[in-house]
Amino acid sequence: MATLKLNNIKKRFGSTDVIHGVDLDVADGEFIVIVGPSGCGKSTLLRMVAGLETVSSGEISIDGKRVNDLEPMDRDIAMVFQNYALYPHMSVFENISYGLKIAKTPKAEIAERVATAAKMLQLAPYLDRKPRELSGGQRQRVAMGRAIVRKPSVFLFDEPLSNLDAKLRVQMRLEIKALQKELGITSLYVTHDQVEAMTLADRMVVMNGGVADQIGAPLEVYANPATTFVAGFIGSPATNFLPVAALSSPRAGAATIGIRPEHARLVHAGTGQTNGMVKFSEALGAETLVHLVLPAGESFTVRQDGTMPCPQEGEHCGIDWAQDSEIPFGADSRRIEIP
Amino acid sequence: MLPILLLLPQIVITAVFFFYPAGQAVWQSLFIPDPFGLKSQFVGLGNFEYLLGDPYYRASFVTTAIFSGLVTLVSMGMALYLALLADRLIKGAGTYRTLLIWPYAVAPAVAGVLWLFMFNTRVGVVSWYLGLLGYDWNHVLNEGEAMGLVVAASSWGRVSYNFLFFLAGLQAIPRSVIEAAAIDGAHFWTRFRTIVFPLLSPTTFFLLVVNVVYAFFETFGVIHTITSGGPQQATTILVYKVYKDGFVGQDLGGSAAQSVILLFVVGLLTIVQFKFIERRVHY
Repeated sequence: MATLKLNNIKKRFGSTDVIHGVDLDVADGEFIVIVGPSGCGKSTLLRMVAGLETVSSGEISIDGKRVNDLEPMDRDIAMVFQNYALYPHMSVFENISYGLKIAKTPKAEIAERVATAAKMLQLAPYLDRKPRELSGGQRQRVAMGRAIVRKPSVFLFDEPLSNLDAKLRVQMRLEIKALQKELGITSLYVTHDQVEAMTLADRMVVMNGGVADQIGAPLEVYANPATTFVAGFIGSPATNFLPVAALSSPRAGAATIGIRPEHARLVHAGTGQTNGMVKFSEALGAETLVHLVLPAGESFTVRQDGTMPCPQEGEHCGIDWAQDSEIPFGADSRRIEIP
Repeated sequence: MLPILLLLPQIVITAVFFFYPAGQAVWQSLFIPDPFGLKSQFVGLGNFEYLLGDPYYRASFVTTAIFSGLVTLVSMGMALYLALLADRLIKGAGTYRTLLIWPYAVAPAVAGVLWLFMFNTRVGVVSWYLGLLGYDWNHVLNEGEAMGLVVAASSWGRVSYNFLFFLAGLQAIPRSVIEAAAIDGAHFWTRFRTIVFPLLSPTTFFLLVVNVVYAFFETFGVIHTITSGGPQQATTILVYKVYKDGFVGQDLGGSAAQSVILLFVVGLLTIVQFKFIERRVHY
């Protein structure tokens, strides 16, 4: 249990700046998800907190104590790796108890703590197996077990679910969330999957090119994206962007507006805010995604209920939305407030 | 017809350079030729009987065991140490690697001459410095020093070979496993003992077998150039004794019997090696 504070963290590899100053305050027990496309510096940021990368400038503190110059083992953290990083020559029990054994914990206590963790993660029947005899999901659980058994102050997760298949990923996502709530340990979780970010996070950090574009609660970020990048990255299908010039009426101060696919609807050709030609549509059952091409060549996606009539390919439609659902952005791609 | 034709070159090479001489050795080991090579007398297993009762031959087994044990230990230990250092290098890793691989290109006999010059009791640079320090180096008379010198010379070229395998083995260990151990609280030496070394075990076992075979059979050149098996019999390993008894001592029957025994030793080592490769641990 601890707070975590990042103060103007920067990272340089040689002469290349990869992280340009990130500030973050994590409250005790909070679940923070860092999300962004590959190469945005999210993993580097996590590895700096873990102590696996040096910090070029800025300060990291755990529970008010500066940890910049501490070795990973002295930071009281535990980390779950993308490839799980299990010790292949050790049994599940030895994997989970490795850290405790090094800390010279009494044998009886090790057995008890491993048993508790194994029960929590449904690993009890597999304690004697080697990692290669386990399925992907079970390996993932062993990695979690190794982290929780040490009762660290901070959990670090580096894309822990990206090696699992889609169904298992959803299941493990729920388990991680439940486990973190139960243990109440401050967590930092890195992912490139915005669904994971939305569902797991108390607050999320959206990273883009080494900068934290926005930090906030998932729904708050979804409703009020701070930049065009955040609007485009969070939410699937992505937000539609239209230059204001393409609209019939001008929007004061805005260069671009964003419209969420679920806020737009199809109307008769010639009516609505703009027009488009249907390129193709994807019927997903509960909903249908209609992809259109606008006269200027931009694509536009409309998400509508699965029961609504769906236009044919090549058909011309009007597209309409309520003006107050628009998200306006200035010329610098930043969100602007329209009075 | 075609398969046989395609196999033929390999079969011919094996027959001419292995089956024919090996067969001849087995055949000759059953005879004692007269000193002029005009006729030979069939003695059955007499040569073997004589060898196994010969204290010099049995002593040579012990010498071989000590020699190959030391060569394996020194060359693998050095190689592992260098590989650990090279694995941690960030700058100039390629240069170091290339430099460390060079000694492998030096033929054993040439390596032997190099070491002989360095340790020559009269003109050797190293023995001269040792003399300044008050140590009288003389491997021509001192059996321990002679053994030390041939072990050093034989190991030197071998370090490169072992280094390559150890480095590849080290680099095959996922970085994240080491990082996980670091987060779990393991310092460098603990990590090496509990994670790195166990994960290197397939490489280590493979090298162990290969190095023992090397020390047994491929160190002839080194021993021949440096000590010629002396002083007394101190560095006469089995392979050297085959040469010495056969070509110098002209005991062709006894020498042939020795090479038949060696043939069995090779066979035994090969079986161990194959057993191991089949059962090699897969992670």
